[in-house]
Amino acid sequence: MKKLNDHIIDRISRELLDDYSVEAPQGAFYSINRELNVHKQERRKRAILYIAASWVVLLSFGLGYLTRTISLPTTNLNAIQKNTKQLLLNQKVIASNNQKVTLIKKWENNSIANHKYNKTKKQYKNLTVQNTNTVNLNDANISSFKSISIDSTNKALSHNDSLKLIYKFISLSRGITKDSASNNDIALAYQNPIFPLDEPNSSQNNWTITGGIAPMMGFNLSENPSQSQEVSRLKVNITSSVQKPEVVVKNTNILYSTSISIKRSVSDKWNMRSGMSYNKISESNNNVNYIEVPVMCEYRLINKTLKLYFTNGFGAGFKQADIYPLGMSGFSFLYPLAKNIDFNLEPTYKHMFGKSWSYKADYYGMMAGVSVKF
Amino acid sequence: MSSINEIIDGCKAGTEKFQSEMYSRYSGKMFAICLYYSKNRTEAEDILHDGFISVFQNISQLRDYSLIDFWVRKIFVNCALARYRKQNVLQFEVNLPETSDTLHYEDVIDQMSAQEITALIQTLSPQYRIVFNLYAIEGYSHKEIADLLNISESTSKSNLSRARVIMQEKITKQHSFFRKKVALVK
Repeated sequence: MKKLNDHIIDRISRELLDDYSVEAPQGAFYSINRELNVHKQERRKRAILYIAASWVVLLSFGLGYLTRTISLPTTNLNAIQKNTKQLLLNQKVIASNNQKVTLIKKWENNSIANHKYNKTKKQYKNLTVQNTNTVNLNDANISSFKSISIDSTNKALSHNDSLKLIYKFISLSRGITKDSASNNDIALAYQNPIFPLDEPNSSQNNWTITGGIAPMMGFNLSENPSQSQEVSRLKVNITSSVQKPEVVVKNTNILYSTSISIKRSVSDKWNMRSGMSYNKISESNNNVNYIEVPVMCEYRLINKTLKLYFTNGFGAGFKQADIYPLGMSGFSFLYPLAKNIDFNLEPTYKHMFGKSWSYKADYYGMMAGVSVKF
Repeated sequence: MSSINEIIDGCKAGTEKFQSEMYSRYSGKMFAICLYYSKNRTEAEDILHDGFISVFQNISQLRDYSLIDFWVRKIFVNCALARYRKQNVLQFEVNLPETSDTLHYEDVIDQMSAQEITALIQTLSPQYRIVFNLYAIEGYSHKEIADLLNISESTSKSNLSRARVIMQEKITKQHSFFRKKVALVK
């Protein structure tokens, strides 16, 4: 008979219970699975609500921007000059005398883009002024018109005449009659050209739909040493993924991204872009699918035949109704294939934020696709 | 049968097949844990249910797959603790006198099975059972237990001591009963 010290109970309990296993009750997994499905459905509903809410916010901002009105100061040519560019970007302008001036921008969209510019004669071939049959360019009666627009039904206007007409109209609609036909208008017009002196730019279109597919390479910078090798193989993998994607899929973690987005020009150089992409990750022989909704802004760096934009943005990834924030950055090359159709090539870097994202955190990829302007 | 890495990835993707494999792999061991953290089988079944829900909902946070056993076990222990907190039964007694003069038979305890030890632990009141399990089986220190249960270290020590005494007393009684039975047979 021995007196035991206290720890023997601890030790024996630990030893006995360490590998102790008891058959779990039958049907337990069924109830667990049922509850998980209920949770999944709830989270899916929540995710759909999030997406819907995001779109509502985006559309609200977009509509707000499109329908906003501005009041311009009166009798101040400098102010007009200052606001000209802004004026061009807005569909509706309320002049100080409350006359409604329609759509300077509409001229660009509906007229310029649809009319041919004759390089030799430096004039718009079919550009005419509607409702101005009785109006002489030097005639102050133009102020009696509430709106003017340009279509292809009447006589051709020279570039200078178009500019004169527009600035005269702007001036007159603000009650400026003095020197209205003077060279000030022309000078002002040249300082703030509404119509380009060269061939009209096809990028006048405000809305663009872009679709594409990208093989993307995922990597983590921080987890283990082998990942640095992965980064160094990055360029090779991206190249080979275009030629032999099946080899790359087998050996590396590739994310395929199929996306569609819509873009709107908000100024001469800036675009806003949003859309949706469907992504497929292959990690540890397991396929994971998720959806991304990015919001990006683009800044134009090069505006030649080949256009180059710097893109930056953020967004949300939706997987199994869980939401993950993400940031993205890259470049967008546009090369014209036909009128209003461009080929897109977009080297992109993407980072998934948050600890709950359990896959690779960083991705490089090359989106290739087509943009259609309208 | 899939590898554990495949099962984890499958569970992360929410695939039912892999969830079922994960359940098959861990349900036995985890149910045993649930049993000695609870007072009866029904309570253990509830903890098992909550534990697996928590495992499947949080598995996306698991990055180092080699820690899966430890991680799953910890989830179940936490579920058991959360259950007791919810029921507000973790009202700990403070400064209980330590009685260490009880005599026991090493042979008796050595011959006990895991099932008997589990049954013995289940007879403890929740405050003793939790501290005993965390200290003796999970290997937590008194400081960690104190932090985890929001009690003082001395309370943890005295509850552990009290749990041991109760268990020793029960083992002794069991031994006496056994001896009487043997004597009667003789």
